[in-house]
Amino acid sequence: MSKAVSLRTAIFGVLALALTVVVACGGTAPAEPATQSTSGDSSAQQAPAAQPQSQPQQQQPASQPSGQQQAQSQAPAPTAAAAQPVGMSDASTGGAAPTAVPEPTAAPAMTLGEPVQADLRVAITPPYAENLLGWRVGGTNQGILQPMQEALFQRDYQTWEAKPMLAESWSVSPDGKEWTINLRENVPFHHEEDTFGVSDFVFSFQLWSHPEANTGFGAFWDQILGPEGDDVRSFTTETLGQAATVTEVSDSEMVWNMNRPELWIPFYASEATTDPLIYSLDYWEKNGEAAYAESPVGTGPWRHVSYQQGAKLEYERAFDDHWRINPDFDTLTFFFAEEDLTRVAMLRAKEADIAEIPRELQGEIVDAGFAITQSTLPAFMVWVGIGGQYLEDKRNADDPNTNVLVRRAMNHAIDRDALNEAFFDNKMELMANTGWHPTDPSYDPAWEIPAYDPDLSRELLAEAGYGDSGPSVEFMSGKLVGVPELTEIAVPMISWLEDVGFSVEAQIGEFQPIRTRYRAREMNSVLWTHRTGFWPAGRNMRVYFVSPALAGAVFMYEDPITEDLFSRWQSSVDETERLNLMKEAGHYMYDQNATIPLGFLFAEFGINPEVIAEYSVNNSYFGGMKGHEYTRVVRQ
Amino acid sequence: MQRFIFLRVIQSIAALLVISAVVFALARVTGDPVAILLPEDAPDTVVEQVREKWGLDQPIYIQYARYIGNFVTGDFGEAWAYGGVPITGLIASRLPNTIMLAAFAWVVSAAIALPIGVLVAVKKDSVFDWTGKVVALIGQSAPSFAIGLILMWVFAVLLGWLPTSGNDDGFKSIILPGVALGYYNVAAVMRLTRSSMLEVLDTEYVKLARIKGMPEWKVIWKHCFRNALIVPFTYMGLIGAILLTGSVVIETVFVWPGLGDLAIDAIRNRDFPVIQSIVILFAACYIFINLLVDVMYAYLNPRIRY
Repeated sequence: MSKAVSLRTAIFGVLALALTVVVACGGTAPAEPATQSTSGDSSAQQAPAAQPQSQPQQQQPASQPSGQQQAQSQAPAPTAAAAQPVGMSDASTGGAAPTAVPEPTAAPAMTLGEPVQADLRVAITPPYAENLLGWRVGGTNQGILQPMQEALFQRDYQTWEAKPMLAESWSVSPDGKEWTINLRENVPFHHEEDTFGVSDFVFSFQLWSHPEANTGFGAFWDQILGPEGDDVRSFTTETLGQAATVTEVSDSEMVWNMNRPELWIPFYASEATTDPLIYSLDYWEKNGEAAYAESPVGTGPWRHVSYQQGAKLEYERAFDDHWRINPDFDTLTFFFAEEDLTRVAMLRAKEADIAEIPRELQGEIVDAGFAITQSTLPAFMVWVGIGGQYLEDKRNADDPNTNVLVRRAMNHAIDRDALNEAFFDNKMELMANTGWHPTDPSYDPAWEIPAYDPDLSRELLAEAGYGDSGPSVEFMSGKLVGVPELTEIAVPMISWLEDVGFSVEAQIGEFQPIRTRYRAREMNSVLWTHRTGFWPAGRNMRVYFVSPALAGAVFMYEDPITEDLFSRWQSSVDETERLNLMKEAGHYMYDQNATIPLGFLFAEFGINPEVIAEYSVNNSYFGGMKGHEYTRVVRQ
Repeated sequence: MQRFIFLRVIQSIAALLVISAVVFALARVTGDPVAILLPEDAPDTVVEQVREKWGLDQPIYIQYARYIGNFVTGDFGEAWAYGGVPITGLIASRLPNTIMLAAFAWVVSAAIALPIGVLVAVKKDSVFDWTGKVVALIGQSAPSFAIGLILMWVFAVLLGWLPTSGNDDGFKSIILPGVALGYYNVAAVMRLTRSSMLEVLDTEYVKLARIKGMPEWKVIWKHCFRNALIVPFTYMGLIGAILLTGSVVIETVFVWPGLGDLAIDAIRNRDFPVIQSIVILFAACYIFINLLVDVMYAYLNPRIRY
């Protein structure tokens, strides 16, 4: 009896304790997740879209009619040729004709009702190293600064087209070495004591090019500066905002001189790359570098509010009338959550409105009434490099990788559809030629994705002289941010290669040993998985497929023919000639089976459709960090 | 006594030096930090400049000697991956959060383990005894990150009572990470409390108190509990250091901006000076607390001598 009483007392005690916690915390259970479709809500209520102009692809909540859901959750179809990005072609990046002022941005649709929420909260994986000094940390870290800092040019998220940003119009000299750029006037910085001008650009250029800077395109800036650019590379207090390579015609017009012809300035100096954010010289001179670390300023539609390293970064709407766009939300907060499940929980608990959700957990999010939205252009390119294809100085004639028949055999040994289904939920857009996306002007639609044909692989190996014992190769795979599946997909690929006769020694783990070896051009007889961001073919050629003599970086494919084509492409100022040269290089590499192309992956984010009416994921490493001034709120 | 303290301090310094050397060497085994600090296509000249700037072009023993030389003067160096900011400032900004979390976890450990320990001792071999053991053992056998994620799912996602992560909501923010971190030590403290209580319950003065008709609650809480606390409290002093270092995983899961979270970031970025500083700091906590306990023992028990 006494035991029973004690048991009842204990149960009562536990319940009382739980009740106390509830009361103390004042918590209530969250409302049921939304069951309405995003598009259904937003189509009637959302403001006219400004930029981007079309809806991103969205996987709708589970409550939608199944037919519709199936249609929308299909793998992304390759973009049609009609959508070829003008921005990737020389025609626009050359920018010979002054570019029109962008269309005025539509004001948020206040007439359609009050926003359901004033704050936009985005949960993302932390950048490599959080710091507000963009030029010092570089790379993806600068993504978190882009809500507040702008660049000379911007790229359309859907078409990749070059657009004016702080550069209003531009033209290039016939020799491709002299860019005349008219800057947008009367654009204030957030400290409101200075407006953007030529000296701010020069100062920013000095920051990007400084030897202690850690910017993503340092090698490129170094090339175009040449030996004449030492006043940019090692600036002193006296020369801040001044450089011999930039002539200030007026406060809003400048002539930028290059060491060599360069027609892709609207690409390299755009917000799409990692470097070229514009900083205020006035703010620096008044407050020093330390002020930028504490409370940075820029010209963007969001103003820095606070920063808690390791946890969050807060912005607020900067101006009532920003020159480009007035954000729909009053504030923007990034939460840095390393753990995937934490971000999932944040979205499901409605503490975040947009969250980076790993592919394997997306189904659960959709089932819970949230939506998955993905970039309209890919964010990553994934492939396998075939090492050892070096110029004579490093080439080993006995290396099987130097035999085109062996490379073809490798390509036909891989079942790309199976990889796509097993690891990427069929969301990978398969790739025919590494470095060339169908939207690139130099892409050839006749290129075919190598078919999985083990018998053909065996025949090719026999033809290459490997009848009885197959070639021996090493297969390396290391983890890289953005594509966690990189090491996982190596396992079946090794198995398929062994199945057709290759003898494979596997090394799966960290990426660092891979990088050390390819930088030293010591990848003979090695295959390795690789990924990069979504870039034009010309940029991919420069980084991956040329030798050190042409400032290559990864040396995945070196060939006298492609070296010559790229060299001519780089120095040419004739747009048609450049396009033909890049096409020729692409064809040659396709015929040579220079790599094992796999596919393009899209940036994907989970969104709460009760709050987010429209969100276009940026197609870059930056994913959820950029472009939130265009994110639209649901209005009541 | 003085000789004992002197020798223990020397031992502690030697232990710290060994730890620093091991950490210094192991951090470099993970790879070249320049690979992460610089972009893929950085020119070789820039790579060399960065190596020179951070002293990575020097032999490892010179790098170590420089590091230790600066460390003893309180200069932890600069964080490579964080734009060269002083590590002292980075640590100072994160340390209070870690101490707060560890302190709350300590309280949680005590608040759960001590009552359960008393209960299972008083109700020995009953359903309470078995239930208490199971509850405590779950804490010790399940990884703290798993406990953390389950708690997050139940109390933040399903019930909506508490925030999933971060430290914006004051006391509410610390509950889940604190419970997840503190639960791990519940089993050990509970068992120590139980055995200590059983020992005290069996003493003559407790029997006398009962014979004299003292109410049972007074016997247990006034006479037994206070006397039984000595052993578990000694152990709980030591777990302070365990809770500080155990925060590495919990801080990452709950986005708690403390030293553990910084350590994970630093490892990801191969920021050697930050990794070394945090590990040495954690090691110093351990060693200092052990030293303190040893000295106190020696003071309390004069028979303990080196």
